[in-house]
Amino acid sequence: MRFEENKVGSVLIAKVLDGRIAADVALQFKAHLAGYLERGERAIVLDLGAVSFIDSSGLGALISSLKALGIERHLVVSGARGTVASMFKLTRMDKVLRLFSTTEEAVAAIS
Amino acid sequence: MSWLRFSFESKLDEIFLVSLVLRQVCTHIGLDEILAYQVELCAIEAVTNSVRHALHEQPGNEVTVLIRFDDAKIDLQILDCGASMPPTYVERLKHGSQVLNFDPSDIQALPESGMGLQIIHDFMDEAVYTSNGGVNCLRLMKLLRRTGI
Repeated sequence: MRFEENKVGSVLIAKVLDGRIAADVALQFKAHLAGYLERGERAIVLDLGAVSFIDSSGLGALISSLKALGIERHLVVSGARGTVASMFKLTRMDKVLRLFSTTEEAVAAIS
Repeated sequence: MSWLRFSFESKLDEIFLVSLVLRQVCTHIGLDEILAYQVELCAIEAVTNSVRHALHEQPGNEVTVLIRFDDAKIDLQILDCGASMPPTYVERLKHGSQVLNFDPSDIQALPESGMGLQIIHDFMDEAVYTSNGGVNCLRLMKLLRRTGI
């Protein structure tokens, strides 16, 4: 999987560059997010603006990463498009994930 | 309309082929973005289950997908010759389950797996699983509304 990383202050913005987060890359996705936590990132904005498809495996990997955060760290999502947002809504994960329309809003929320 | 039929080897990194075909079909029949996503998602969940659970990602096996559509609906069939779905999962497909009835405030209790059948149950208008003579078949049907394109 391909990511583009930028830092705004202490906040890491990790933009997923691939259009799909599905079963074939779910483990890579999970490992990549785990890598951010292992290197000490405490505030992560996951930008899904380029993602048009996510399946339950991709969602499960995201949830696994959320569980690994602990109390003092943040993982929020920005830019979820209609299709991805519909998946979050169907699975009720929109009640769990902090979702923001723009990366700027997300960064401001966890800075 | 006849069935469009194609097969792919039972590897997770070939599942994207199903998306390629379905996106073209959904574009052709003028489905809106969300409806097209729901159809694609359910097909992907179904073939992923075939590859992972029926065929255990063993190479040398095939998953077959059949697609047919008309003005009113799109029909899909996903076939494999692997292990059949346990009865408890067939029931979940038919009646739904509690997997998505979690407490959002209890992060550690959130599901990380097992959501695929519930997604199919919720998004498809019909989902029927059969296993006969060593062939497993998941039939999905979605009623259509079009963008008018």
